[in-house]
Amino acid sequence: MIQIDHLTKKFPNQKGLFDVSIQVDMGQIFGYLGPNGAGKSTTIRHLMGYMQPDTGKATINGYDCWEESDKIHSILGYVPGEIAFVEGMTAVDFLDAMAGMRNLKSNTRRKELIETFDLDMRVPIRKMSKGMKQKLAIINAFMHDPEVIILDEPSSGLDPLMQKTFVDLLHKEKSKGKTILISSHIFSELEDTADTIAIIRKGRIITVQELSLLKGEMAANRYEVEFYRQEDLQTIVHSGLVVQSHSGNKAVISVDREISEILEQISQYPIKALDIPRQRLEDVFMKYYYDEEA
Amino acid sequence: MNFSLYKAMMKGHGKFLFTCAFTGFLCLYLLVMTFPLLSDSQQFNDVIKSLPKSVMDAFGIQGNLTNAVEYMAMNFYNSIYLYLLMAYTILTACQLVSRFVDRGSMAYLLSTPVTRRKVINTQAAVLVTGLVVMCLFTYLGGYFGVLSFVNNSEFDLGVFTELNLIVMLIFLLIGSYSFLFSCIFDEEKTALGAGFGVTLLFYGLDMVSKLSEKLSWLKYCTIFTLYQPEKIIQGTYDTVSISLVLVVVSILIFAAASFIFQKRDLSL
Repeated sequence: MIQIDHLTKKFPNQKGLFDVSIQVDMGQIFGYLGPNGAGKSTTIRHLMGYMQPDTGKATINGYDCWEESDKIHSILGYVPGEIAFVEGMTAVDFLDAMAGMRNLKSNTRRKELIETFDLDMRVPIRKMSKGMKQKLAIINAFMHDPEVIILDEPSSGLDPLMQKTFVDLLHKEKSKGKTILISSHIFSELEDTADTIAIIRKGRIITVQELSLLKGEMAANRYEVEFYRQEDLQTIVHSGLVVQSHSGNKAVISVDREISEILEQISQYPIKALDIPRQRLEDVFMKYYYDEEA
Repeated sequence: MNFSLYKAMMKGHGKFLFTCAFTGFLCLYLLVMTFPLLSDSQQFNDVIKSLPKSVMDAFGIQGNLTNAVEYMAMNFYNSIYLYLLMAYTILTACQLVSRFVDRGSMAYLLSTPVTRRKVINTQAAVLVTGLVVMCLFTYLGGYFGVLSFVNNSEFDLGVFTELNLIVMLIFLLIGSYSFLFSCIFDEEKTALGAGFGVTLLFYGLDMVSKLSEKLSWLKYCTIFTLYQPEKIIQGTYDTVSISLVLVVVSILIFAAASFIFQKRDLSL
């Protein structure tokens, strides 16, 4: 379990984290969302024990992230936001060194992951593409079967197929009861994975929401219907259906009753086009961004 | 100290180390090869003796070329070897810490159960190992050169060993403060600048203090005052106490570097 309690860290440039509190439980995937420079990576640096908080504290499974980071690191997998490996090493050297530092004896999980992500280990690291390096970072983070996983913008550089593989891996780990935190500045990176999403802006948590509730907010609530004939549109306007607005041959109809009832009414007339504008997760979040701004 | 990390670091660092160590070996070996040619040449000795005394002092020339160690001290241990060691020691100290912090790869090393203290002490151990290997290769280069080209009567192994030991310990000290800079600064180029800046300043002060009587007080401001090949050859050098001082001060600086690195915030 990851717990951050009223953590504050001020930098000389007025940026930093201000009274941040979040909690990630076992078996939960927690999305940490915010624009660039909002404080996502700073939060993760505290969890990793790279920075000491001014006030407040961060703990993982009860261990203090600054004082007892070595105990935490033995059960933790981490994909850093910056993809930079130690120079002059091959991928095998790198994984061997990391396994050695973790006192990891078994190679089984590593082999499985290399196969899953289809990574060519013979390519020297400096010749690897961004996506390949990201795969290597992911393999490194998961190869010791950690209980807690922290990922800083993990799917950047991965192609759509590999992103799907990665999402599957996260769901599998989640079902094993792992605690997972993913930070991202892209909504779609979290849409398929996270259970709960926290939004951070200018170092403060704006909101923490269940993704399922957000998805409810996103349900389609209006249809856009275009008729061939103006008369048909006029009939619909006076038919008892709630028409929010109309222009030309187009009408926007509220979904305020059984869907079949609406369809029955409009299908009496020839229809040129029917559109169900779906709100994207992104729009829901934009709302929070702007609300704060106002 | 962590052995897996040490092994990985030595493997990654090996190429650079052996390039430098082999350069040292070859330079000194080839230099010793020329010794018999020059020591027999009366003309060369005359040229040396005609130099102004202050210039000879500044470069540590004594005007006596019948001794192989003195020849090496003059042409290698007071010039090219210092530059080679400076380059190796300062670059390595910066590569081992500040480069990893600067580029972000330190994040991987510090995401394992190996504590910060162990990681940083391992990096220090890699630096010290490299320095010892480098000095050992050069020492052997000189020794084999002497075996191949020089009469035993013109070579004193004890003095030669002392000379090599002192130069290594001087650079242990230089390595320790370069390592300290490497641990303090976020950016590799700042650490490099500080390391080279301070070392070249010491070197310059040493030259100046020897060139002019009026400026001789400057010798108290530079660590190169502790490095006097002429005195080692003459036998008027207190090798034991100076070695002890160098070792103790270096260890203290390494400890400070390690302490600072453990306590600081890292933007990884």
